[in-house]
Amino acid sequence: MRLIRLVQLLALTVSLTSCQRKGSEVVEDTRTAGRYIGRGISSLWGNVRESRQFNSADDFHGPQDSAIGYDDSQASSSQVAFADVSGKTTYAKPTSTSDYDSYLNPSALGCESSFQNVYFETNAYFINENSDVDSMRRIEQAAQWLKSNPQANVFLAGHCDERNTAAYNQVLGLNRANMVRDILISKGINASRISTISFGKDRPAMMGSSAEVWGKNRRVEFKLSSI
Amino acid sequence: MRFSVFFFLLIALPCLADEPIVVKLKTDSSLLPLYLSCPESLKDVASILRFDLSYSGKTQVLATDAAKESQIEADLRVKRFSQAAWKKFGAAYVVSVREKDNKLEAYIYQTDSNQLRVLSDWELGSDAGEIRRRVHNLSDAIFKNFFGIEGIASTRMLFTARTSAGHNEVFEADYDGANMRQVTSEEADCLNPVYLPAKSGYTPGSFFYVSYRKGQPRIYIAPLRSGKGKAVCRIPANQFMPMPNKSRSKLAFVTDPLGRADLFVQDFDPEIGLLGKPQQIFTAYRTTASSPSFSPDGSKLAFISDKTGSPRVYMMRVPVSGGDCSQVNLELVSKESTENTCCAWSPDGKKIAYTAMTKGVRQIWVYDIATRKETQLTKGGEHKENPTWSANSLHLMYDSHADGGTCSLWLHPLAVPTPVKIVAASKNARFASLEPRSI
Repeated sequence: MRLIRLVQLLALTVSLTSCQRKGSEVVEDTRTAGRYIGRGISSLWGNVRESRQFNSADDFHGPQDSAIGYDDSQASSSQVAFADVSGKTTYAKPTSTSDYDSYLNPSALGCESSFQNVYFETNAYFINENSDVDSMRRIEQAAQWLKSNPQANVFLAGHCDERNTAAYNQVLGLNRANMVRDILISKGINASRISTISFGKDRPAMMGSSAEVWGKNRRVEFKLSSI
Repeated sequence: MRFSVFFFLLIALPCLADEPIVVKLKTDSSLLPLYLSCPESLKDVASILRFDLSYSGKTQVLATDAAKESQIEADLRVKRFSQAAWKKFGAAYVVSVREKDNKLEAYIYQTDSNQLRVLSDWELGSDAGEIRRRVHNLSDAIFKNFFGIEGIASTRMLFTARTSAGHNEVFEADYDGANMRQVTSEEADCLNPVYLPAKSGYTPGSFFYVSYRKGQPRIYIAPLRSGKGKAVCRIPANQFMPMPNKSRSKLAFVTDPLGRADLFVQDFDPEIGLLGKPQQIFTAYRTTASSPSFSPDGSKLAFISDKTGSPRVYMMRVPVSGGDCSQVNLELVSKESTENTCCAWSPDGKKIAYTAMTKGVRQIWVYDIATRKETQLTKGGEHKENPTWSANSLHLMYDSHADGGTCSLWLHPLAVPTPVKIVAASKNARFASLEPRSI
């Protein structure tokens, strides 16, 4: 009985303090608290995720990381993202670095049903393979088509809604594109076939300022090289 | 039971009282009144001088009136200013500009010290652009005489603006928005222009920028004269936010070769380009970093990271080239504000400016490094972003827009409560970078 009353008092305290603050502040601080709790629990299992420098691709491909680096099979050393003084790169360039605008919309190739936009929540770029069912389905469809058409390359363009700064949206759009890229790679698509780009909030799919419009603009779009 | 109630109230009361502390930046109390006198024949010169001295960050130009003009004429006749009279008028400084033999002659007077100086033989030049430049130089000479530091009237700025073709190219203009010219001809969107600081005694001749001309955004360096950029960084990935340090020895930037936007720093030589290997100086699981900004001595870097959920401003020591980054110590800067972006370290090293979401609107905040206090600089309903400091650290310039609207550029002296619009929203002007100088 006492325990129940203690819990009731705790809930009352939390509700009183929460009501003093705006909803957005509560959301932000809850996210912050969630991150710390998550890190604390992870650290119990030895998964400490402090900042670290990547000296090689092996370092980066840690057991808990979800990001996958570019294929450096042509690299002369194991180091990733290091260019030597002579100017020769030590990593393979993706083949699809040509002008994004020269890539085709999937509808031009009659495969738009396989390349539906992937949408995101506000400020989010992470796709949970278990809970984000619709996003995973769309990416799976894209992966299947790409496996069936090995000569095609894909450009993933990350976009954001209008509400945050241009600088923030540049990076957020990039994260969204890279998230989809990582999942495509995990589905067996060669990294060299995938390029990413971020347009931030500069190329909205819809104009306007409403929740519906914003939702349509927070997306990753697919474009394809000609077959 | 009573103890339980007491215990929870003890916890709850501080939380209930936990209102964010907002300290408004002190404004007009530090501006010194200045009286400017120019004859009607020098109306255009007067307009430029009035703007420069009104937004110098140290002075507030008084309104013209007949009594003060009479006093000026009397003082000029005897080539001596009356300290008593100007103290009575409440003018800390007096500037009187006259034309003599097709050149300008400026009498500049400090009331408190009763000191009079004459800047003479100030040639104006022939075309309108040259006249503006010379008058801006005069403004800076006046400012330096009064305060012993360089003004910003003759500095330039870079920014991106939309062309008739619909692309955002890099433009350059005087700091007041005049003499605007398109610098790049990428025929693609450009972002993040930033001057490469010049060596001592020179003004910048080159700049970095990001262009989408090759599809993915890449960092380029171009001479201001031609605007023809050359790729700087060979990493085959998206590249953003180039930021050189003041000594031109390092370039910080954001890139994602490892599938996540991370901070990199690489040694740089203005004659050769990037040297050695780019060094990834900060990364964390499911975290992105952006907006790097060096301290003036180059030893520290301020940047934005969302490692704790909401993007915040952090500081870290810049590691030695090739040094170990496995034990990085970050210092959180923005404790009061949240959802921060676009940080910029002031040239004097004393402050960091950034944006923060404030009651639903993005405002510019300033962090004082010595006092560790955050203060809100801007107000109003439009979103502000991309703050950039003037060379003397007395001003911020930023772009501002309403929801869904295009961006305009605003100049905001820290000591003045309201900013002044420099470039109109019709241009969609963004990403301003004010010219650095050796101050």
